[in-house]
Amino acid sequence: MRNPSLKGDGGTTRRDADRAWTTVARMVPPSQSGAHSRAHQGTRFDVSSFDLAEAATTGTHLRQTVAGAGSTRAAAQRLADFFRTSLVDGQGHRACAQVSVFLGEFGAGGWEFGAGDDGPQTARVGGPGAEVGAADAEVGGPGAAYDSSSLLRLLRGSGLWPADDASAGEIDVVLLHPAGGRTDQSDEASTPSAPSTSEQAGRLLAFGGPVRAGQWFAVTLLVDEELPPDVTEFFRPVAHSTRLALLSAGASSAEDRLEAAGALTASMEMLVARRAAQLQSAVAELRSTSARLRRSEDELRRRETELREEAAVVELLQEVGGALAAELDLDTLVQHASDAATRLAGAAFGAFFYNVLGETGESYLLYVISGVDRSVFDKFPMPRNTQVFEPTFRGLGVVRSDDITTDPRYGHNVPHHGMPEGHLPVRSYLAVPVVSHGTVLGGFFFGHPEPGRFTERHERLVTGVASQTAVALQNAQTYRREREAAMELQRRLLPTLPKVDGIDTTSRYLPAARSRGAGGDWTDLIPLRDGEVALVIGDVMGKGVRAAAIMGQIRTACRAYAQLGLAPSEVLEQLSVIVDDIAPGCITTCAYGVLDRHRSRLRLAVAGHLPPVLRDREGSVSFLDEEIGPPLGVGRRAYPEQEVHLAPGARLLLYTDGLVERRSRPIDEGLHQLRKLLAGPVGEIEADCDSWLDALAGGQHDDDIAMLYLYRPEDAARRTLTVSRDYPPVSGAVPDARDLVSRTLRAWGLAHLANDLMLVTDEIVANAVRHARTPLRVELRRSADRVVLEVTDSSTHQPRLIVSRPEEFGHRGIFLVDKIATRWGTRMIDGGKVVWAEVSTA
Amino acid sequence: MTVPPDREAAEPQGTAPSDGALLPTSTGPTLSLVSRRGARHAVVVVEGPIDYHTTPQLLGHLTTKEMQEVPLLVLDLSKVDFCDSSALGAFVDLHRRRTEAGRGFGLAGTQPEVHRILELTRLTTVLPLYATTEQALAESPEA
Repeated sequence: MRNPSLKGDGGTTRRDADRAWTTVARMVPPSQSGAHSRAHQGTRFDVSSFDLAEAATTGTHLRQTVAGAGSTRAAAQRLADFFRTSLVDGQGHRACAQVSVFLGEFGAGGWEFGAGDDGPQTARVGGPGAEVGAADAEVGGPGAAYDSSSLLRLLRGSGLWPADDASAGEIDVVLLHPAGGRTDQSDEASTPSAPSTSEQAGRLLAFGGPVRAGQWFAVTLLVDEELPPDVTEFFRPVAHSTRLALLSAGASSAEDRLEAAGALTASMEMLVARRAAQLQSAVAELRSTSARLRRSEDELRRRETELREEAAVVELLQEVGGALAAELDLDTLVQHASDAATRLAGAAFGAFFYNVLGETGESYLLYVISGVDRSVFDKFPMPRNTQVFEPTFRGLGVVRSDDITTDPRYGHNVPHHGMPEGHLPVRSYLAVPVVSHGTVLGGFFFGHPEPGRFTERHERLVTGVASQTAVALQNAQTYRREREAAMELQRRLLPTLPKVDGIDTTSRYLPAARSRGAGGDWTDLIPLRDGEVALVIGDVMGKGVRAAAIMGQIRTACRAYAQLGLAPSEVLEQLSVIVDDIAPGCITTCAYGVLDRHRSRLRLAVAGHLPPVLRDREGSVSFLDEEIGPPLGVGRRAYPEQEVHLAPGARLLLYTDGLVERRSRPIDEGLHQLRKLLAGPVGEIEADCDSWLDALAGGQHDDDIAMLYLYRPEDAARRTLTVSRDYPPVSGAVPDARDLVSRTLRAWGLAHLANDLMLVTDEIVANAVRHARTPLRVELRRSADRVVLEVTDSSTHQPRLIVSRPEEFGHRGIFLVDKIATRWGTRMIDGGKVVWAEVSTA
Repeated sequence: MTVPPDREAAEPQGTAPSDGALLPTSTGPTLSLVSRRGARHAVVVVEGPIDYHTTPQLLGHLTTKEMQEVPLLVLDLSKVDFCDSSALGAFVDLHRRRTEAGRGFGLAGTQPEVHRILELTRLTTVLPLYATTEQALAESPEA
């Protein structure tokens, strides 16, 4: 509506014909009842969230408000009331403290229609260029922040109110600054005339423009709260609607109304378009924000899962590592490690191959299997250094394959070109070397019949177990070496007893169950002149290498005195002096006897030691405790001596307190039990020793144990025969050992025992191959009334008797041994165990 | 870790070779297994000792698809003079699996030594035993 034509407006009263603007009168408040007030009753527009919908509906309400107003001025008053009552703030309270609607007319001045706390007011206001008069101050009334002239000044300053009659511009909306400028060009410092404080910044919303040619309007809304800058956009349609409402109330041409409606539509369209663009960008932003959120949520979830898995990995490895580190027994250790790694790898089966050094320094490659029965692999030879295995055996790195059969390294070697026939199917393959300080100790191998089973996580887990295994293997080896060193010392201090014609003897030395192998117990058998033999047992109090060292010295001294031919009482007297000398205060007990086989006479002296037990030919048992002297180390003193008859058929046992004394059992009880055992059935001396050890100590001894056991056979001519052979731990050892037994028994004229002993041998050897997996030795001994089988291996695992139900798969081996053998048992030896079984020839 | 260099085939050997590794290989006797197939049955004549060493061979022979699916499987043990607990485990396992699959199983012609072991372990009450193969084929409910 640029350059409006300056035509007269018949609808407006012209109080002044002249063109001066003067304030003339206050208007009477309009009627409070009527269509206009009802029309917008209950209609509320929240200024703080004024938006598209409000902008659109406000127009309708504005037109309803002025319906039937009759004149432009009446319409202006109604509009003022409408804005005053319908605009609310965020809490539903009236938003505007002061509402003014100005009407100006070419040559007729202007009117202000107010709506404030004091109700509606009408006033004439000055025309363009008029000075603000004294009366102006009253127009706004008490409570109004702005008087009419201030508002007009602000309106003129913003271009909403023409400076002269001819200059009414376009419809516009501004957010006025108290200084009178628009907010976007505000400069508070330069506004001394501001009628309000800076707190009113952004609170005076004004809009206006031409109504028609020669008539213009303006609306000021003093809002209690600060308005957002973009509120002007939403009030643009409101401004057009206001104009349309004013037009519809007064006499107006259809063109004007059409033109105004078109402007309103255009402003709405523009607003809608802007809003749509805003919404679009808002939606786009929301979308990208939610995508970002989702991404970061996914990321968080992934990290959380990773961390949780990581924690689980660490926990698992700690658990495995703890279990492995505590395991000092090599065989148990490697099986645990293999089982744990197979479980963690999620493999169908796994194997751990490892190197062990035999006693003579030879190296054996051994293996344990997890997940399947070992027998599945027994028929295959050891893996060779093929392209697939080489990286593991040489410690070059991990091999992980989703399908090993498609690996370029696979299938190059004769004769199998891949897995041998009958091998468990392997597609997924994972192999991890166990390396310590550059030495390859072994390797883990895992297989699964389906491809793609082993992930990077499995690889990490197994690599973790591998490094724990390396440490544990070294621990076990260190422990083994230490124990072996201690045992070696002990062995050197306790050499094998010599064979003495006419008597069968055996001895035992067992270190305390959880010690490192050395102790102060000793036994000795010293052949003397004239068919005499000295029998010695002793115990240096204390444990470990120190006790063993003292024992070694005393034992050597004892041998020297024995060779001098001293009587038992004299030997102990000399030893007492020696002990006092080399280890003052070190309590040592000893029993020393000399057996004269020609006279079947035993002379015995005891220094604080437990009394030897004698079982005569008829089976009556007695403790030789008539004369017991004090322990050694109390200086020179005479020891009492006793003499007993030891005829052919008699047995004599010398022992240390470890055999009968236990924390959980008083020594008297142990001695009582020992007497009962000796009074019971006896037989081959090795078996006797083992069964008594088993019954009395049972692997639970707190102290070390030494035993010297002697038997005078009635018929020395029936000598013991012995056959022994070594086998590798392979299934073929089983038929080979059976064959040895069969041939040997035939040679001994005991073919009738062959079936029994073959079965017993078969089961014990198979057990050793299956469980011990160390080289083994089979020994057969024949004595007067029985055949004894001994199978020695290097594992400390003991076979247990398990009674299977008939429908069960396994565990029948030892059951059969138990059914068939007259007696059987196990005894732990240095670096392994012996499983023995006895079959009576009677 | 030392392993033997790649060879054409692992030679049988019972003791540690000089390069420090042990190559356990199968030695000792193996079983002779002769199968006769009927319309609804298979008879496997076993000859030799069935033990820890040979049981895998026997099981390998019997775990072919054809052998697993035959309605009645009879092991002729008349030429078996020795069985150990591994063999017993295999018999029990075969019997259990075949029974569960609704198929028949029998042991025929057990020799005295083998029979003694079956009695000691009370497996005579579990496993279907027949004096002869003919009897097994005639009397087995699956025949």
